[in-house]
Amino acid sequence: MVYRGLSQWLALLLLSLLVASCSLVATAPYDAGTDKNLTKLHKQTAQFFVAAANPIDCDYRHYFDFYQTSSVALSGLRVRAAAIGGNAYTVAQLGLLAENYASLARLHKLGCLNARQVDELWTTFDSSFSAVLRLELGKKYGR
Amino acid sequence: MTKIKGDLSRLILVELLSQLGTIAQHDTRGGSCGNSVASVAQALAIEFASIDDMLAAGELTQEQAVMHRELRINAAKINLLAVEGVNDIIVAGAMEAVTKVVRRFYGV
Repeated sequence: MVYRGLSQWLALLLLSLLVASCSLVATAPYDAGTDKNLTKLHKQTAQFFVAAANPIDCDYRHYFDFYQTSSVALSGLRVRAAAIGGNAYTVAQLGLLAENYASLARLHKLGCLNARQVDELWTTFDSSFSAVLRLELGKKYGR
Repeated sequence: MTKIKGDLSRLILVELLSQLGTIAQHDTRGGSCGNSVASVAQALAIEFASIDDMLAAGELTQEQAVMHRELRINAAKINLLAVEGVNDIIVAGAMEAVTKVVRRFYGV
């Protein structure tokens, strides 16, 4: 009798500890909007790199629309991500991605991007998009 | 003298990054997380070496090289955040599963 009561108390204690631990690793739910908008931005970026690899005009001004559109899209993504609780990792990732778009624009303003630069920058952006999507899809599939 | 110092610091950084990659790869406690960190560090080391090649070949100015490095560091951070985030999701999932088992077993 005494043992049964003790085991129930222990179970309750264990459960409350687990609940407390769960709050430490609170994760945001999967957001279809973020997934969709991110995929759209990736497509725009890939189109930019295709154009930059075979440029008609390599000057920054020729790509001004791309820089403006991507900046607006990223701002929207960041606001949406920040509105979801427990989404600190994705918010931080999008902040870094926004910094990278700003750096890309600054780099382009300094001069035309040569083929090797375009190739390596494209790989860098692709790897960043994969990482942000990996986390977003991880929220959906739990791995 | 300044150029030698710059070259040396770049070499040290590349070496440090590749060592970090090797250490993380041999860290069995880290499991798949250790491997992911290792691949991020190694990729960063390779990219830094490539930037140095472009700089040496005169394809980039010093200012452009700095921006390229910043871009690669940010991309590596984005990748590491994904590794950390996915690990948290796995831990949260495991805790939820354990909670379910405890609840079912003890009926609480």
